[in-house]
Amino acid sequence: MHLEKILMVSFRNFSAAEATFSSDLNLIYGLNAQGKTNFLEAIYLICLGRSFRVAKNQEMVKKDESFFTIDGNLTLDNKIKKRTVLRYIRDGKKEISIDRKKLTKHSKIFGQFPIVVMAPDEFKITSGGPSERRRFIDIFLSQVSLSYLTNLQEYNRILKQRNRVLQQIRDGQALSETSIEPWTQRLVEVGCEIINARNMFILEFSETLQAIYKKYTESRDILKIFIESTVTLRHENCDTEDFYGAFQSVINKEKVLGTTLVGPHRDDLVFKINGMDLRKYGSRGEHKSVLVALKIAEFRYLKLKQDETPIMLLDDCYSELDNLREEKVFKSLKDLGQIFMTSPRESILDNQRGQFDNFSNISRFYIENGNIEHKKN
Amino acid sequence: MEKAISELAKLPGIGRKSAQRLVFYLLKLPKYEVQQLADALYAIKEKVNFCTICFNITETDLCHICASDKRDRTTLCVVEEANDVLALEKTGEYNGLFHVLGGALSPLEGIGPNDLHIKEMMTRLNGTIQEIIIATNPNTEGEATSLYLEKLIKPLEIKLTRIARGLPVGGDLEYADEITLTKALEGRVVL
Repeated sequence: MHLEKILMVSFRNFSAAEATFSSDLNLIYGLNAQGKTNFLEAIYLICLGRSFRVAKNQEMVKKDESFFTIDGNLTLDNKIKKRTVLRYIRDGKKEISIDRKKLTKHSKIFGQFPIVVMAPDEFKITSGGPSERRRFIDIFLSQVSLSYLTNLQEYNRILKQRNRVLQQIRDGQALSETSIEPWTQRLVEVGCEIINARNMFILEFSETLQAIYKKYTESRDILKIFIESTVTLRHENCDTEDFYGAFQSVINKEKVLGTTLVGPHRDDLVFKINGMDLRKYGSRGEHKSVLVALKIAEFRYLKLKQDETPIMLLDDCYSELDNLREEKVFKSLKDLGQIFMTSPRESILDNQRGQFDNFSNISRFYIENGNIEHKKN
Repeated sequence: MEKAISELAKLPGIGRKSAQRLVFYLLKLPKYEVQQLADALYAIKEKVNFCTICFNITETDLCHICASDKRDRTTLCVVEEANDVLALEKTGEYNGLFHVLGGALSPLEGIGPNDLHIKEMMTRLNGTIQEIIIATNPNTEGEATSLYLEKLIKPLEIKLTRIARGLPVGGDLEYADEITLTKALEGRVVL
């Protein structure tokens, strides 16, 4: 899949900007705070209907404007053309339409246009708190499986309801403690499905990741990922008994704290290099390498599962890539698909090490104060 | 006129534009028709109340279903709202009695078991009822409510069923969303 054209109106610092892209490599360069990341954000929005930044719709509307629109023309691997339009009017709801059909649920866009983003913020995946890793795995899996997404939404709703009952119990407002039972039961049912989906995914994904990590670091280090769960499984698959068992030991504590303490919403993803926990013992360099490998693996996995080549966004990540065999990374990315990369300098494309040999078609865009200028080679 | 528009716009499913259209339409109507509408609306509040047995809406003490001697008094269908009674009645296939809970469990909205007509339902299970059909909505709150009722009713050893989830009739498989299809697969029946 590749993005052919994008039109942004009143989006972030763009008044009205349009650009037509190379299906190969696109460099977006310019000084800081001119709109490079906003540009990538628009591309991401077109593909997933949400931002890769933590952002409210309000914040994406240009100052003093009342709405924003992003209009993108995509071409799938099988040459079918798709047009996604995203529109938001202040104080209203975001609207997404694909080929002029308005989506009844925003989540329906998930899985149609695979996209992978590598940005400085993404370092939180390996170095930040568990919620960052859950977010990574949730967005990733939601792109691959619609039922995962639906279960997750359902789970979060049940969780909120259950927490509310726990708070009522804590504050002495609950008339009977049995009112928690149906919520516990639903949480267990849906939670099991989420745990099993995650475990199955990690089982497949870790192999891909391990191979990629080896290849690009040119080391013999073994990178492993697994899920650290608050629910101890007795067998390979999570069953409801495992879950109830986990609840039994914490239920009293839950009633004091007023919050649910076990379940997939408390799980974590652990990265280990040669058995050492990356988060505790990893060097800066190792974190970088793991992130890059993770993103390339994500790319591969999405492509395999969805039978569609994802778009790759690299937000100012050159220094990160530098840490690996960068020419190798770029050569392999070329096989993978369309790339958008941002950089403060155009000179980043100096092809001294032959890392851009494989790209036949490179487009350059200069961004200044919300204006996009397509530079001719 | 502005007042009429903003009052109408408060109704569910009606936005400002629809409200405007309705008001302009009403302006064109003869006076007596508008009077009839206003009277009918007012009468809802004046005359309509809830059935003392099943909490369905009625203009008398008992709703027409509870009062009827043609209904099967051994089957009880439990629903969230009176709307759901109307929907099920339209099928013409169900001849049993109803019980309207008045909502579903939702702690977030402050709705607990005591806010629903659950106690009243339990008092109806005194021997004549042989089957209870739970027809709460297939969403988060409806499912939890169903589980709650299940716990209460199970010890009574009355036949307890839950309406099936699955594909809409007359639809194409390809248009069904993944979750509906999954549920339909789970609930498949032997031929």
